[in-house]
Amino acid sequence: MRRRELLLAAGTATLATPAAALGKTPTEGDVLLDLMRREQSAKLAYGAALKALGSQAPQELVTIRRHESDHADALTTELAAVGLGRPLRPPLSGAAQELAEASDRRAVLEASVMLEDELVDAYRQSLPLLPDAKIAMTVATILASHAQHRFIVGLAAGGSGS
Amino acid sequence: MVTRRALLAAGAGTLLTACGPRDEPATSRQDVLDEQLKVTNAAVAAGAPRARARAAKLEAAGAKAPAGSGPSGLDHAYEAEGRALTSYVQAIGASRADRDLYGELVADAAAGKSELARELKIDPLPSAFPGEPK
Repeated sequence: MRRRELLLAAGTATLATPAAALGKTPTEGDVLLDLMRREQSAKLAYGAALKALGSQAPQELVTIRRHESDHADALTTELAAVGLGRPLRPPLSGAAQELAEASDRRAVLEASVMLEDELVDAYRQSLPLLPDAKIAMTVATILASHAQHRFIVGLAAGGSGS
Repeated sequence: MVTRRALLAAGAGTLLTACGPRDEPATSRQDVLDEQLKVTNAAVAAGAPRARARAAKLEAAGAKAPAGSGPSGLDHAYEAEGRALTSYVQAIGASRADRDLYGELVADAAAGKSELARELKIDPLPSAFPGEPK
């Protein structure tokens, strides 16, 4: 198993919902809580990466961190709509932890690519599990945002974007 | 994000549809698929490089629509890709059956819009909620 696959597996396992762990279909609230924890982790990880790089940090990462914060705020609204509050931020794991611990530009961008891959996958997989059309559409716009992040950090990392 | 006002408007629309004549069909899965192919073909005609592959996926899922037409070029491709993205987001709200496919289209069109924005030398990340219906 490659390093990227190991990290993705670790991220998925740590953030898996209790319902999924028990083999049950997750509720709308379970799905939203999982996405919220991912956004909270991403925001923290990008914040740590920006601090580590200081003035060398790509401007795109500042924008992306702001977007993660906006996504978390939007998910807070959707959680309230299903009667749930904002969860406590989980411990960092997987690509988010890798990003938070990265100390140079190359490592930051490589971890960012892995993190955005994780987020795109998580949002895509969540869509069929959301019965409320409005919530599903909000989640779809956040999926679009992460796909754009993935493209931009992929280019910055020296790849083709996607 | 999609606002409460949009939700109320959608709810009112559903209610009005339910109160309409019995022989007036609600929007079907096929209608939604066909509409997505229509906007995707428009993006192909405008010159959006990724749109052709998305059109093929929609056709494989059974969508039918005529070829697109209209002006082409970077500006037109960027605008058409944005319209396609918004349409796919709306399709996710309208049809739960094909959300796997529409999720894939959302991700691809969003990346395509950023790609075109870079070529146009404009902000490739202008919103935290790309494709949000206005």
